[in-house]
Amino acid sequence: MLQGAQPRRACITGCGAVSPIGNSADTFWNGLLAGRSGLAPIQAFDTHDVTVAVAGEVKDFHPETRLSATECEGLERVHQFSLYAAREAIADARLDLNRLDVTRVGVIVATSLGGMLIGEAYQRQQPGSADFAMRRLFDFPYYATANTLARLLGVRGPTFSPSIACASGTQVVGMALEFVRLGYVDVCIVGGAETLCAFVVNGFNCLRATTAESPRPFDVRRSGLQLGEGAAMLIIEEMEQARRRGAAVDVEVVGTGLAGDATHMTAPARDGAGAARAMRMALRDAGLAPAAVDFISAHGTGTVYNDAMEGAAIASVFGEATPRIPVNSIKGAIGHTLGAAGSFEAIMCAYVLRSGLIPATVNYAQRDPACRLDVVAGAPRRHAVQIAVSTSSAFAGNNAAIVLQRH
Amino acid sequence: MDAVVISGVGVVSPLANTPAALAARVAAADTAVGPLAEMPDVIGATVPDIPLEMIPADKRSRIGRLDRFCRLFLAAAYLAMDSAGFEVRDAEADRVGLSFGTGFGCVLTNAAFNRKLVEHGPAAASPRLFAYTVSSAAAGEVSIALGIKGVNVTGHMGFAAGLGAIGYGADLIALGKADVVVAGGADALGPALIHGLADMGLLKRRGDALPFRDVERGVYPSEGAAVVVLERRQHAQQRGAPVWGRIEGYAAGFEPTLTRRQRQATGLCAAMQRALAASRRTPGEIGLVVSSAHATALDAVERAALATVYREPAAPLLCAPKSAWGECFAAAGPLGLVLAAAWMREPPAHVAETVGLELDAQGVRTARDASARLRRARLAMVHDLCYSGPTVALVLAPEHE
Repeated sequence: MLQGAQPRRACITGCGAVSPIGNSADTFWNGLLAGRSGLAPIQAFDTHDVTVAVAGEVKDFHPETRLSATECEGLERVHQFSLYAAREAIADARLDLNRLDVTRVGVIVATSLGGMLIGEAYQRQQPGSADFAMRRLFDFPYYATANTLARLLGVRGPTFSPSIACASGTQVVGMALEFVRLGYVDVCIVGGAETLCAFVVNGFNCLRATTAESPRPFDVRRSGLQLGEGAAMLIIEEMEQARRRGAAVDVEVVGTGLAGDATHMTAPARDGAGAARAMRMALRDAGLAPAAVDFISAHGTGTVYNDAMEGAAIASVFGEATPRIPVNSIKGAIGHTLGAAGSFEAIMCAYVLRSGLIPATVNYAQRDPACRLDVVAGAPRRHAVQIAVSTSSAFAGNNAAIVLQRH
Repeated sequence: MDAVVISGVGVVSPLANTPAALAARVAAADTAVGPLAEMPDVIGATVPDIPLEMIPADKRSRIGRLDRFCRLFLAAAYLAMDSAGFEVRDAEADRVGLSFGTGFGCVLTNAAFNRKLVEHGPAAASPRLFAYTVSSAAAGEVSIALGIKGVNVTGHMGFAAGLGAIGYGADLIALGKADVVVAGGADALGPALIHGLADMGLLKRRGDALPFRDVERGVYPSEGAAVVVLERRQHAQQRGAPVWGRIEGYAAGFEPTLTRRQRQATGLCAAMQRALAASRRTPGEIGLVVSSAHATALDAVERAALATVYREPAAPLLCAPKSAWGECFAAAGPLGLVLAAAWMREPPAHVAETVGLELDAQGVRTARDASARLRRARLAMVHDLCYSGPTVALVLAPEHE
């Protein structure tokens, strides 16, 4: 619990990614800048009777470049994604875990349904069949991804798997900030990981949330989302420690907020009140006024209701400044990666803050007259960004927001 | 910083659905563990009756769509709010939060949804079921039912998730993110989970294995929910709320060796020591420890951690209540916390011989003067650990202490 008055600050010192448009943080970022889309017909499973069978799958993934032979053979796909991305993030941060007190290194990794490939295989097996190795069931629960990562990295700090569905990937970043502030950790390995499976694809299809057309976040012709997979991992580190060891401390996590809609299990509150409360809480936490914000990374799924809700939420928080703040969504590029989505967006924000470039919203072409947002479209926009807000919303009425600041 | 107090508790367990009855039955060495009515080959425990009758009539229309996991959480949340005498008013709804933990979450609904896909193809996918295939569904339902619009978090820390959620709930208040947090843990039992545990070789075969004294692979699968209402002391005082205890310190950690043959206690020790440090207490001040032991090989890790942390002559009274309610996963830690709060609030006149334990040089033995020691206990530590690595420890004080 909070004991001291001295504020401890947290910064992002490393990033790693396995994504539908590239299997490193740099290639993910360059793909966003190039306006690439990783969405394509699903290859992972038989889709002959699947209504919408286009998604963002990870391609050309070679785990052996960062994982041992044992890890390549024994780890589930979702754990391979998260470990691969985590090792890239650790290397990017030039972090040597052996030189740290590992009881002060935490792991916070989210997944919405990351173990579901195992559940599918388990329930598909025929009675008496030996095709399914029962030990795989240990990797099925939600907590397995974070715990597997902690075990393989040999850390002993708090290990947590947030589960607020599609907002989890943003929450992990905010929770790491809280853990640093509370003095629980000096380093936190955070992120989200998902794998595409029939369970998830058919689930979103039956909700009629998906589209066979290209997802067009915030476009007036938007008709739904497409799913994606991958892992996005970040190293969030107490600033003074990072500074002492010469790590980059130019991107600080300064605020976090969470709020519930308390209205509906799958549909967002139409007025965006929950998302607005989360953003206001995050800005208050950061000690910043809405007018200070230079860029918003939206949840932007491409569904009619989500994007309208977000437009209303952003307008209610930022008021007259709304049309002057650039907004983007990366879900036209990589799909909706569920529990990993917010972590991909946090990585994107870190690159935006460092580069002064905002990737365009893939497939956005036609403005929605009901939406006052300045959606970045067509090509990356050069824009000096000092303060970025990233926001996510989810099933069960969950909303999360974080604020990042460049130094 | 104002203290964080527990102003309400709600329990739904195989043993009892009120804190007083739970405390009395554990003290009397009663147990709910036995052959399951629906699956007599399995030794475990289920909740015989989920008390949903206290949900107001205008909120009951949604109950029919809820799975067992959501019902357990919802019932315990209502009981806790009633115990706290607290109703969420619109004006403060965004200052009230939820922090829930679960081990398996909505696994029963996931299995039901997937079974339809496997047997009948994508056309059989049910949107009603899919909405409840996220673990946050229970907290979502509670937020809708109670009008809670602040922080809303569901988390997994293996079977330690419930106690971890209560610790995180206290953190949210300490960080100023909420004035009140409804926090706890729940897990539901059903055939899909039992079959999975059986296929993993995780069901105990004999029915009388005792924590710290026997070692047998597996668990007595169980279920339940325990929820507490946490608030800033001043907030509780202003509204004249009852106080069950004060969260003095909390810490979480991880032990990467728990899945190996050579297990270490380092991670659990660190969590216990940090919880004590956060509470500014010494090990000698802890009078009662509610443990996570369940007659498995992990009990030795707990015993080693306890022996390291509590080296002083006045070692605490030790209780391992999973003999009474089985392995109810993420509900177990919060149930242990409620047990400790209830016992310190109103110590039982008599504690059965097998319930009160203490460390000795070789292991754990029946404690002498357990009833008297429980009456003297002024501070309790509740800890939890999961085979997959997470460890949590929490220090509880009665409000008068």
